[in-house]
Amino acid sequence: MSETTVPKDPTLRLRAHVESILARSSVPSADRGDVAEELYGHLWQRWQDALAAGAKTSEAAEQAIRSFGEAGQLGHEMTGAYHSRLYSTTIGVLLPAAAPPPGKPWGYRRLRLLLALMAIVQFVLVGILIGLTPVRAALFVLSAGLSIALSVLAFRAFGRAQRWALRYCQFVLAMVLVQGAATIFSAPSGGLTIPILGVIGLWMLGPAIGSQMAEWFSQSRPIGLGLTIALVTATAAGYGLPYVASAMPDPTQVSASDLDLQVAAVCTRDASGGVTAVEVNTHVRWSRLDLLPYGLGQSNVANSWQDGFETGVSPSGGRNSVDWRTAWISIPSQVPLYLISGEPQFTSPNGSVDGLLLAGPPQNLASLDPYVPAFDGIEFAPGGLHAGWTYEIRQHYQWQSGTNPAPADPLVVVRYAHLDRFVVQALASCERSGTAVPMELPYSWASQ
Amino acid sequence: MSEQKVAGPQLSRGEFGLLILGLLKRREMYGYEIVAELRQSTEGTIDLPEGTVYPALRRLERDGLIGGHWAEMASGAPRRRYYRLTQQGEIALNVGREDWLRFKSAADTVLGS
Repeated sequence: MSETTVPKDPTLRLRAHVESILARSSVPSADRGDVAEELYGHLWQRWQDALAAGAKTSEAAEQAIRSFGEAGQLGHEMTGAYHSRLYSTTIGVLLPAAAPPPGKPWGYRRLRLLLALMAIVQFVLVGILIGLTPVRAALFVLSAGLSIALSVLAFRAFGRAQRWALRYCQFVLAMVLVQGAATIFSAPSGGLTIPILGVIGLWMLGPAIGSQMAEWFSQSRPIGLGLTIALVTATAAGYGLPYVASAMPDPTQVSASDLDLQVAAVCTRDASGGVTAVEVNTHVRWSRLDLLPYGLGQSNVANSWQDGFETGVSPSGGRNSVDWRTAWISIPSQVPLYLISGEPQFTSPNGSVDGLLLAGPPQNLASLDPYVPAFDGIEFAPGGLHAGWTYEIRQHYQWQSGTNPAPADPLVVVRYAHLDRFVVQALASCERSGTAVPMELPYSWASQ
Repeated sequence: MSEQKVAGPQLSRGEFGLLILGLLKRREMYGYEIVAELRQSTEGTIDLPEGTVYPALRRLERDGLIGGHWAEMASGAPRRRYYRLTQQGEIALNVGREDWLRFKSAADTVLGS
């Protein structure tokens, strides 16, 4: 290891060697004074013995230093004396000071500020996980934890002139600049968006790639292939996991395959064979339910999507036609369908709401949605559904003779939307039942 | 690049610690003295970089096998930190010595003839 300056005073030379050893170690600051004094005492006595044996002053000092051992190796061993093997081979390698040239290079504070900002931003973003589903939240926590740990570690290592910290800082800066560029290019046409982070990134770019900075980090020792791979992996995981989490399905959340929805239609015909009434009987059964579908917060459940169910018969009996009769459901508890509070109430031709839901407790399981044109919609209240229960929904459609021509074979369409995540649809006709299959998204509930 | 001495037999961390305990069984010593004594006792067979004794001493002290105290020196010489064996250190030394002798005996059986 070459030193940048060699003191002419032998005792200063001995002290410099001690400092060099300590700089390459992670000796706790409380012990550094004692350790320095003890090591210097050894070197001093060795120097004295060499002088007594006839060596010249400076030559005696060099002998003492040579016999004492290489600073990097001794620093590493000293770290191992205070910390676990794991610490010594990881943090103990990443953090020791690299004996940089005196003074701080241009932009030193800016780049450390960037690392500090990254740690703070990641910490603040942890608040997002309150609305994430469990596995996504866990991946996000892991990602944020890695990013915060790396930023804090790099912040400290940067101050000790460890080159890996400069590389990490340059990577973070590149990410900031890419994000800034993406913000500009994704701005609406005709508009101008100035990305604050991108501007900050440009402000830091000069020092990050400048020669002063490179020179300041030039004394840093290699951290080894293993640690390099670990750092790259942790960095990639820290920045990539949120994207992975958003792209992958959360296994704690249900999919369409967890929903069994069967529809049967029983038709009543007149003498000419035309259908005068259809009894639509739908069975809904979830094999399992979502675990925390709105995350740990659950605070937005009231205003968020609910499971929705809608039925339509074609040709329609007509919501406004006099022969239309709204859904009705019978036993056991005759829980009335609730209308959405404060919204315009849907009224059937006779001015009453006849809808009932066959569900039993809990109360307020579903509400009648008046906003779905040509469909009779029901919304299930959050928390109202239970895994393994079969919910039966019966709806009766009737064509009044003479008002509308009786259809020969009306088509029954039943759709079930789970939150804002997926929709399944089942088709049935007279004496032909149907099983729900997933519909392609995007699906606009109100427009269908 | 500094010159680094490499001893003939390679000492493990535990063996080095055991040797230090063995030396401190004789009397209190400071680091420089331990290195010199080790070199002299083994007639130079064990001749490690001198600085390596200090991490070993730190470990033994951390484990409670030795205790240290500072002694002021006359005529401007730096203070010395003397080490002595603790009771726990004596037990560790006895156990380590027995282990070593057993190992030596086993090795002699294989290599001795």
